[in-house]
Amino acid sequence: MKWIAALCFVGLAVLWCVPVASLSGCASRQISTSVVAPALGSSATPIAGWAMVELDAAEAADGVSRSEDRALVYEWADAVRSADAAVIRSEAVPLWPYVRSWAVAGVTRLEDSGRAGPLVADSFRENIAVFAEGLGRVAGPVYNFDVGGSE
Amino acid sequence: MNVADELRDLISEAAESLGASAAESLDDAVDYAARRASHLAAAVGEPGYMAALEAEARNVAIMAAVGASDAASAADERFVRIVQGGLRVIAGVLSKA
Repeated sequence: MKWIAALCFVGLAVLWCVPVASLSGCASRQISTSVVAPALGSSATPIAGWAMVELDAAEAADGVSRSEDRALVYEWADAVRSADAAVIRSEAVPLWPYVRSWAVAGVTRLEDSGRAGPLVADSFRENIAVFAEGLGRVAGPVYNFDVGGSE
Repeated sequence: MNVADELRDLISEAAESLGASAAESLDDAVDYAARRASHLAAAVGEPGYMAALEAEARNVAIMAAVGASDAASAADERFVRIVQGGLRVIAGVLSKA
């Protein structure tokens, strides 16, 4: 009888603790999100700039217009600069894999052309990786695996 | 006072002076800034150095998650400039050490 009572007590404790733990987890994520979103804004312009370096170079190489891709980069940068977590989640996060790959390629082009030294290029890549981490915090667990990290 | 202490003071004061919510993760940001100051010291004189300083300062802002509810982008930009200036001075000193 004592064992049954003990099991019931443990069961009730678990039932009570799980929702409380979940709620406190949600609360801390909300705080992080609202704080991190504005901090991402200042990285939008340079990352978009590195992506443009790649698009310009690709266009010059094959003569194929990249105007739609450029529009996508502008759209992404505007969404990030909004500093609004909901806008970032809905508009910037889905575009990030494209922008990220162009930005990384753009940094490599800057390094290869000598416009950025190797350690400078490393700082640029670090900026992309740290931004991705911040974006992951804003985007939440659903997107954490899609936003990318450092190369 | 070592580099980490200098950076801690700089980042904390910058965040406070802007009325920004300084960071749940200020310690991480300070550790990060100290590490990257050494990196920047090695990069002094490379092409694009000033842009690298700016990139690292933006990283510190994200790591510190500094943001203000009012005029977020202006406060954010000012924070980046202050940290950028601090990193520049410290990297310059380290590069000559």
